[in-house]
Amino acid sequence: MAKILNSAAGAGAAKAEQVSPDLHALRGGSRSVCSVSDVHSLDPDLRAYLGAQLRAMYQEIVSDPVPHRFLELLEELARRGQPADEQ
Amino acid sequence: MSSESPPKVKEDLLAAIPRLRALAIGLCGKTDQAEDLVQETLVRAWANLSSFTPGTNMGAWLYTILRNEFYTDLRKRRHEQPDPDGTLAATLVSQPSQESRVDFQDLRLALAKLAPPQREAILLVGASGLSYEEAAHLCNCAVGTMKSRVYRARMRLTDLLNFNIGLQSGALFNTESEAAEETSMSLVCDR
Repeated sequence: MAKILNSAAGAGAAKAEQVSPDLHALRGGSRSVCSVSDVHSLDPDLRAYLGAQLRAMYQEIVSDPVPHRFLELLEELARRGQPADEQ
Repeated sequence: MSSESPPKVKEDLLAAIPRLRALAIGLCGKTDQAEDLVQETLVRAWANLSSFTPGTNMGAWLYTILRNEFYTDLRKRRHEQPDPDGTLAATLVSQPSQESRVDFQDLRLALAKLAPPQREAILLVGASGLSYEEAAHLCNCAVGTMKSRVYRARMRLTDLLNFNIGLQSGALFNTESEAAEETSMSLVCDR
């Protein structure tokens, strides 16, 4: 899969890294876990609740029926045929 | 032109759409924009099927295309408007909930305020249930970087959502959360 990742999104992913926060700052931040705001955010109950909310939101969307536009699109693409087949 | 494509490919694409769409909505905030992103992803995937290795995970392959599109669009839009997150948040507020199901509007608003890499990290790990390693692989970053992003996203979200009000209710904790975590399928299952 790494090969696919590199070929399909290598350039984009590398550029995406540019928007990520500075790694050293992140590492420094994760060491100082004793500040007041960190303690608040890392409360296990809050964290569990946040996780449940995120999973519930995700699952709700996943369980939506596939929108019609995508069914039509796949039909259309299948009609056109695969570029690989044309070689 | 070859008349038929392997039905398997079409089936695999179809099967990947719900999760792809869920992640796109989480990333974009707005459903219509997210579905345009998914559509673009499917078209690109179809045009580049020859670069997909059969037997490997199609969901993971599609997601790398989707995120590539997402970040490319993001850079384009940053040239057009200086404050994309603020604008997105404002649009979300004015959007009525489409269904009367559970309303995750607050959560979606809070997600929109995160830096995109943090938003992506918490969606992959916290929402879809990928491991740090799987998410780092998809995002082409170090595992430590992924952990930091998830950590920071959790801190920011809990601050933004001010859960203390909600925690007064006894019905908040979903006893099925563990089961949900199991079934909240992994994009990467070909380990």
